[in-house]
Amino acid sequence: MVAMAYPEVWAKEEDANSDAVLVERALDNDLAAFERLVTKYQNKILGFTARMLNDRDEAEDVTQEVFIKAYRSLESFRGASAFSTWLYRIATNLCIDRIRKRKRSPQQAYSLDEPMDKEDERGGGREIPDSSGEPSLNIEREELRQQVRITMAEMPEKLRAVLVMCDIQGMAYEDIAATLECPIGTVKSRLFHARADLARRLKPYMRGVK
Amino acid sequence: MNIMKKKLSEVEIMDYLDGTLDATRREEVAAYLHDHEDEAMEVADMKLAMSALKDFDESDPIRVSDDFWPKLRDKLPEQPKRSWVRSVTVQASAWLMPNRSPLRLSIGAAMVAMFLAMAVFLSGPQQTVHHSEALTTEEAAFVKKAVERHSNFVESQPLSSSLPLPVGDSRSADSDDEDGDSYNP
Repeated sequence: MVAMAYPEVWAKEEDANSDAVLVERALDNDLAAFERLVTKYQNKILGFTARMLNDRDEAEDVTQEVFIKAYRSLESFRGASAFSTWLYRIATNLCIDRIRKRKRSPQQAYSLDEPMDKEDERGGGREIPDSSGEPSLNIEREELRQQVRITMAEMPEKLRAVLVMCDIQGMAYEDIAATLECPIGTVKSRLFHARADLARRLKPYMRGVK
Repeated sequence: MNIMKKKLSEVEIMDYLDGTLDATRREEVAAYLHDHEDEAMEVADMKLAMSALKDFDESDPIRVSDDFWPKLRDKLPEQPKRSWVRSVTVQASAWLMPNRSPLRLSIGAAMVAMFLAMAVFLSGPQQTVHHSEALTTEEAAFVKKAVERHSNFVESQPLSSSLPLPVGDSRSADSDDEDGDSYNP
């Protein structure tokens, strides 16, 4: 009867590298186990925070905060959801806090025209590989990318989070719903509005790139 | 084919764009969009926007810096907090069945404990409380009448004849006894 209650748990032996096992080992003060968890998810979480905050350096700071917070509250992770879902939840909350703090302090507003990677400033801008042999097309493409960045930065954070999770991170609706603790219908509705907003803002820039 | 007249819902459009509609429904939506140019243009614009977003993401791959873990390690607290309950449960389950995952065993142990507790609770000694039930009017009247009749009968009987004589004993019940306590109505 116990096996029936948790079929997916009892069905097969758990991998020694599974998140649940690594969490238990980390709780036993095995730092190497926690490092493996960090290595597994660091780029995904950074990808999420970077798209949410539109600032690479700040995104890496927030990503570090995510893992510090996770380490401190590791005891409270019960395995009811996936470890990645739990991490994304922490990341979403921290990003939303940062965004709201920015809105309250307008002097800290970031220029949307600055390239995300500060290293690009040396060259005066991002270099675009000219593989097509058509400079004008590349310029239009770059303008489109810039407009995508601007549109996302100006999008309400709830819509932005869903757009990043679904269309950039490729997360399933169920996982997004679990992360944001809302129904799947709400996720799809927010995604609709996010995509519609993006489409409307990008339309003038897409004529040449089609 | 069902001709769709109702406007497409947001969820339907998302499912269509994601390719998760079944074949029949997908054909219906496609036919609807064929007949409704404005909505078809909105859906086409969304498709292009999704493609532009994907291109934007691929053009700017994001990776953590090389010193990400060393910096993080220095900021981590001494040891993650751990409750003694979880420690004991995991240790006990690992000791009892060392080949099993401690997490799985913890869940199993908790389930077993819960079932045992429920079994003890349900099969324990039941309190038997008999609540007295009031007699009906007829029953009360019958009892009262019976008591009265018995009382009348007892009072009507002389004492000497009411006491049975022991077998083989010719003395009457009211014969003198040595203490002078004989009854003589």
